[in-house]
Amino acid sequence: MDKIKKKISVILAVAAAGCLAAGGFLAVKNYREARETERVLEALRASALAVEDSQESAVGEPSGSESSGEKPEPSEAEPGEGTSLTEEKPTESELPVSEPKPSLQPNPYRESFLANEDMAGWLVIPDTVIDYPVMWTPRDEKYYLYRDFEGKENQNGSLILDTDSSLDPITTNLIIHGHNMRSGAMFGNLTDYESRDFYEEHRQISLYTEECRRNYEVIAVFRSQVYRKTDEVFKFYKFFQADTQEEFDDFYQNIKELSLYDTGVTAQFGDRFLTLSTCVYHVEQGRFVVVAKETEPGEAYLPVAEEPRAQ
Amino acid sequence: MKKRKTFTLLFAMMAVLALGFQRPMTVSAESNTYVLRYDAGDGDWRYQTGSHWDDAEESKAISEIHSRIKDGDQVVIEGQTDASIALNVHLSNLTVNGASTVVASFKGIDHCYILAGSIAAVSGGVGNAYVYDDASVTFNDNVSYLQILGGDDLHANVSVRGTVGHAVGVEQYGSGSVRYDVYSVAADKFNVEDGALLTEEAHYSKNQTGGAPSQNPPSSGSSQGSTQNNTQSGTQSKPSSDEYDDVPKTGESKAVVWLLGAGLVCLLGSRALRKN
Repeated sequence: MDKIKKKISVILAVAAAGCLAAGGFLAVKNYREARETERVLEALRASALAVEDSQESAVGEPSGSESSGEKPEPSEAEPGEGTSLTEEKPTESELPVSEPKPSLQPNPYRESFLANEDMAGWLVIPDTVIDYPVMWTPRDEKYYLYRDFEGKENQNGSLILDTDSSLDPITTNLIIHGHNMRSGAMFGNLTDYESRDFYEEHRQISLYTEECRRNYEVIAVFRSQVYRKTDEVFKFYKFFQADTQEEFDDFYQNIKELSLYDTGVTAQFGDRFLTLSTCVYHVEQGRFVVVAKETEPGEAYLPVAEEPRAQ
Repeated sequence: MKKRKTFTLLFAMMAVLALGFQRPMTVSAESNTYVLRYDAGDGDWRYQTGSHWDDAEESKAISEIHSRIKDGDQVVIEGQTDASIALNVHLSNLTVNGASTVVASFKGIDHCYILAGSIAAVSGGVGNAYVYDDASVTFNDNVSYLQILGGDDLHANVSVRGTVGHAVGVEQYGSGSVRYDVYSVAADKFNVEDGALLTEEAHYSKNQTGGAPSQNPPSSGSSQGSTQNNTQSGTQSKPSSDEYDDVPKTGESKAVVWLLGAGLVCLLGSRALRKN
């Protein structure tokens, strides 16, 4: 009996050693990968900030820091580009919702777009850690699910734009998926939107694309889930394009009903949305979802392949 | 001495098992993606893991893939070749990317993408097929949903030996005008040349409730009835009742927590037994 006990004890000790060694190895590996990724992203953020700073100094006055969450002021159009300087500056409500402003500026994320052609845009929620590239790989949606910006294996993965979403031509709804990391990385802090106070301080979201900066305002926050294929229920992740009022209303009414609180933001047919989705565990296949409505357009950018003209 | 040997052996086995946790715990629910290329030098196919062929990365002989590939995995075929490839699995995704004269055989394919410049023949029933630009393809079995896409105009060549549940030709990669939208195409009758539908009207229906030679008609793509005009949207082929929608899983891997927890439990168990 003692012999058996001894044997089991040894087996357990070996198993413990193996598990602890592997767990420790994984923890260190994950930490190092995350640090390396953060270093790369930090360099790209710094590059973007430098471009924005140079634009501000070229204009001679601050145009509103993108990272501070202030609403961007409409910039003056340049002569010869469709708008006369003598024209009255339009009010925000008069501005077309989807058309970028005619004034072309250097893209702050030019270096990032050039570094990886899979990058669809750069997502920023001011005053949060959400300040990441968004990858789009129509041939393999999950390619960057466990890969960083450089394509190296990484448990944080990258933010990915659903392959049924498209920026060109732009679809009614852009869905971005991101990991819910305990460290807070990626969409690890997205669930903070469950607090209305957090929402009040972080209503604005920006998506920097190759063409322009798209601004959004949070319209609904809710918990949902991925359903079975045969389930005939509202599936937020199936809505990409509204070609009719009915299709639009179906999505709009459902997200407003599901929302944890009334944001007071409304939308109408023709508006576009940005949906951020991450895993949560209130049910099997749970998802935490933040939907934002596109508001006034931000700066329009020069093609990234071209040299920035204003430094 | 014997004890020490056993200990060493057990330790090695546990370490290997524990390390093996890393990958499965991270992507256990994910399908694997393999990219295949024909190596003229070897006279055989080779493969890499991932969706893009990387010349800097080592490739493996195709014979090895048979023991690894499983139902639900994804395959990308690249490169110029007139060789055929057969894998006895049901793929969730097959992409033929610029490969020419490829004959690919599988047990079945959920989503099949024939990209511009490709010339291919595909065997195995297909759920959703998307043929882009000037690609040429022959589907040797039934296709539930077939979308032919192009920019300003359509130029693909497509023929289907089996039946077609629903076929659509649409410009601007899914967001432009619909050139044709037909249902229930009879077996071996679907024929598109240079983007134009040549099938006689007698062999298809213009509405969904028409004659139904298709063995696997598509279901509605969205429960809320939204029109999904994107290139990769569309309909799903016969889902089983317990199958979840395919949405990226964005939970954090708990491999480290589980491993450390299991290690602690084992350690405590071992110590308790020794004390006894």
